[in-house]
Amino acid sequence: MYSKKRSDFWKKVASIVSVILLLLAWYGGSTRITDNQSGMVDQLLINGDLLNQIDDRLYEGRILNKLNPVEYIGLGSGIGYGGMTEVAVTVSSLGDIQRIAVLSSKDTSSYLDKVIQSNLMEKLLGKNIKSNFEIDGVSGATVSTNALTEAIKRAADPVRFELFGINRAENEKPISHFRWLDLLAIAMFTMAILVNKTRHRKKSMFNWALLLTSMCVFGFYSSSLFSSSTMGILISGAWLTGLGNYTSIILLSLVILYIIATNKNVYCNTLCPFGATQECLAKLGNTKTISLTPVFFEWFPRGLLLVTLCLGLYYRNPASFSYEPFGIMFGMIGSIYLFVLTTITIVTSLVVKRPWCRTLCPMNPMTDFIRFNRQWFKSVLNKQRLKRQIILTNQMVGSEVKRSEVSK
Amino acid sequence: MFPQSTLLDPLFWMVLGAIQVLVFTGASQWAKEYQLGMNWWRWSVVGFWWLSFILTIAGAFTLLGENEGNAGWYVLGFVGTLLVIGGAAILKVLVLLKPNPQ
Repeated sequence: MYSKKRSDFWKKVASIVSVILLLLAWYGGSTRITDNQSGMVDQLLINGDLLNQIDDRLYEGRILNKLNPVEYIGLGSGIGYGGMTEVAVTVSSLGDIQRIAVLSSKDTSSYLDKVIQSNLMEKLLGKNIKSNFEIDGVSGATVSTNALTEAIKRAADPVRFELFGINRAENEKPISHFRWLDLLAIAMFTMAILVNKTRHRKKSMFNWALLLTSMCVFGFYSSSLFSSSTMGILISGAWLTGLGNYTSIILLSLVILYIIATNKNVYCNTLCPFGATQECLAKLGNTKTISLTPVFFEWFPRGLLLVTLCLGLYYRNPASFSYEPFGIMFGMIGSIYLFVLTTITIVTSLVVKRPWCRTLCPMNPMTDFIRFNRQWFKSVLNKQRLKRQIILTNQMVGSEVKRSEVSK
Repeated sequence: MFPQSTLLDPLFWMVLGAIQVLVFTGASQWAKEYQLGMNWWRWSVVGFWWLSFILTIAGAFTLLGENEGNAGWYVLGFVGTLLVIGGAAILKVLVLLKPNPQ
């Protein structure tokens, strides 16, 4: 009893400390980005000596003692996988693109590297912004290419208007990024709830059908399963300004809301594409269920997730700090370290049941955090209700005593 | 292995070749012990799997030796993992198709 109380106390401390750390990281990140961006724009001048800000998205570069500006710097943004991609474009006074710089990106670095290595930006140097310029996509990184293309076009807009008086700007609404997969995510989540509630004799078969469909659609087809980076995007609020892919954030939000409402997690056993992969491999091999009792295995994933989320919030790029094997498994995107981790996990799945879920998966710490705080909130509410009832009973007893005294 | 040595290199490959004999006789013995009822097509599948496995290891380490580190690890990890999964699948099929003892 005493040990449980002590453990609960430390869990409460850890819960509060993690929220404070996340808030600090978020605040630190916001000051860092402002300093960084203004410093970066200064360095984009090519011929000018002085930089004057005309409006939020337009700067002009001048040479000392000369009347006319020699170049312009336009700022623009496009919606990428993890949020906004900010770009600055330096344009000469004749309208030729001279330099393009990515100020910030919330996309996974491997995708952005792929786009940059394709020389997409180099191909635009020297082009005149008066006419429309088209940019070829990069296969395997379509969302990141679209974000960068959109950002460059938008950065050119204010300069084009200043130089030639032409306005081609079109406002893209975040809602335009919703796709049929998002509707399917909601439908499949509803089905997962129904499958978990049903007592039908073919429940297991329905569960397998959902798992396999999810593995094909949210795994191999779209690679849109949620991870620690999705959690980072959700708590950073980057989704409010638009995302290239909403499916994972919709799935995560539904899972969180359902855990808050019912204390049950239907995602892991019924929808998780990586869980489905591990289940399939378990069917092939002679798997054993292991239980990892040491406290280390409980607290290490929690610490790892907290550090990942803090770094993601501080650098305003949660997608760069994910450590899951999902990218490699379903899209062959990720570092060599993640590749090794994926290989080990897949091979281990042949002998141990769901090794990833039992060790490093960020879903367990997140579920534990929500469940613990839900329980804590409920117990506080119950205590208050009990206190109010006691006060009410005391008042009733007091008034009864008074009434009897008066009648005497 | 031992690319600078005229003695150790051929010796190493001879020993490795000799070990293959042990692998084949071991596999045959193991199949008998577990009464897997191996016939020509089962042996062909197992042999093809083993050949692919050996070639993958040889190919990956050749790439590593040629200073193509990433390519080597990717071949080993990607094709190797697929082969391990394939191996598990073949084993499962062999056990499932095991003839019933009369």
